[in-house]
Amino acid sequence: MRRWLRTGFVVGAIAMAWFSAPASSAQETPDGREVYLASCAACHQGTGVGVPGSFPPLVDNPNVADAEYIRDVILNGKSGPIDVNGVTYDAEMPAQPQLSDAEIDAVISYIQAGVFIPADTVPVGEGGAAVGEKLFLGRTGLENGGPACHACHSAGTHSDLGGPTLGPDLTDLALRYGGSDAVAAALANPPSATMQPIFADKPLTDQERADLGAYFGSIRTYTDVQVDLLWILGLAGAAILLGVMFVFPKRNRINYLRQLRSRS
Amino acid sequence: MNWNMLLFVVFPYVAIVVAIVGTVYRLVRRPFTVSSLSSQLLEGRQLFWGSVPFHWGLVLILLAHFLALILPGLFNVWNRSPIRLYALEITGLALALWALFGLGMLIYRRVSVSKIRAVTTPMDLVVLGLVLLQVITGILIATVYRFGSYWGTDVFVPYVQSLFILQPRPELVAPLPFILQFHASLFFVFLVVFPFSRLVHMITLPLRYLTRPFQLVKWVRRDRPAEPEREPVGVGR
Repeated sequence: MRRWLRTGFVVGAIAMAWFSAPASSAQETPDGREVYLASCAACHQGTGVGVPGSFPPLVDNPNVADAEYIRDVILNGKSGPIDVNGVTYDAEMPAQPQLSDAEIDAVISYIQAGVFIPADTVPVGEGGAAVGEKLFLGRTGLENGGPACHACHSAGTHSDLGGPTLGPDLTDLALRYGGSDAVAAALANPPSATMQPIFADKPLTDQERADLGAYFGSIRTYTDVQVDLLWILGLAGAAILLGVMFVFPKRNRINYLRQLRSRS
Repeated sequence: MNWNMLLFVVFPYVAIVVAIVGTVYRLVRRPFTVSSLSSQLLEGRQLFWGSVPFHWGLVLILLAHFLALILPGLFNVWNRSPIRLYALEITGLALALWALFGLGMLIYRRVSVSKIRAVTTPMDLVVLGLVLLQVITGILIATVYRFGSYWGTDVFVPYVQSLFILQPRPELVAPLPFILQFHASLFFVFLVVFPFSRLVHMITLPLRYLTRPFQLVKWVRRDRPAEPEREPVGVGR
């Protein structure tokens, strides 16, 4: 009985540690820079200069002085053309409901401080969609050793077997970002918290960004997956493996001893 | 110190130390307990349908995890072609489902057969429960967050390698979905449990069995109770 109690105690302690984990991690003070890089930099760029024609800059942007304006845009998103310093930008910004109030406060302070990552990005040149598709799949490896997009993302027709689903589908990426150039620019600062540490020391080259941008811009069709082939083929495979077990002669399965006895 | 640090930096090192120290102690001081204490003589029929899929399925999947850890480039090159990627993923899922079937059989056998229940320790049930959780979360990851054999080499492999070179990078795991973090940290729970459970039989390889002569095990009592499918004894050979 004591053994059972002891084991129960250890199991209970581990389970409690697990379930109390998410609650306590939310209490930390968020870092505005991290929030910005995770949720804003994909479009507005780590440098804060935005993308011409698509995403407005946050440096030297008079609207940024109004904290409530920023909060409203973060909470509700923004669509339609917008003028900043005489230049028109026209791409849709989605609401960011995943951010907590504390994170929004932190990122507003970061944006208003105006101290962004120094500009060191080189203008992106012409890209090739066919080359980009090979980079996407990983048929051509990325020069700095980063993982292929297809490890986590599906796009266009590349979604067989349910497609990679760790990251979102990228079929309409260029549409959402406002063109190939915007995608290529955004790839200089990978948009998600999962991608940032992976690509931190394995950045995409300028040519790779251009090629990938061209590929995403060229996607016109995508496959709508109706049947989940992975589950069907996985279950079929397991059934075959179970079937193979029947090949064993029954007497070998059960009791080798009995065979030996019957021979002696 | 946040929870990510605790679960993916502190806990792994504690677990590794516990696993190594505990296992060495058991090998040195209690060498005859390093065993899974087979219950085959008590019940053999259900054991076949449980143990074979369980062991073959899990050993192959574990080998694949281990191979990805030491040769991630091999997986990346293999997965460059979508067809090869799909073949690998389907094989992995099939093995996992096969192992899950075997595991279900083993759990059923352990709780339903009275002879087996009599020799069951609480730790046996903990191990079965942990393996069940790990297999189910593994299957969920393989199907909900496809394709692990491809992204794993760039998400988990650098993290595990960072642990080994004593420069942990928990930030690689922090943004991942809960179930992935759960699956990964459950591995470290396995390390903690390893020296105190039947899991230690993993490090024993019965290589001597290949060369030693057959052993004939005889019952001490005169005869066993009659069984319906029993083969005739002494038919003139």
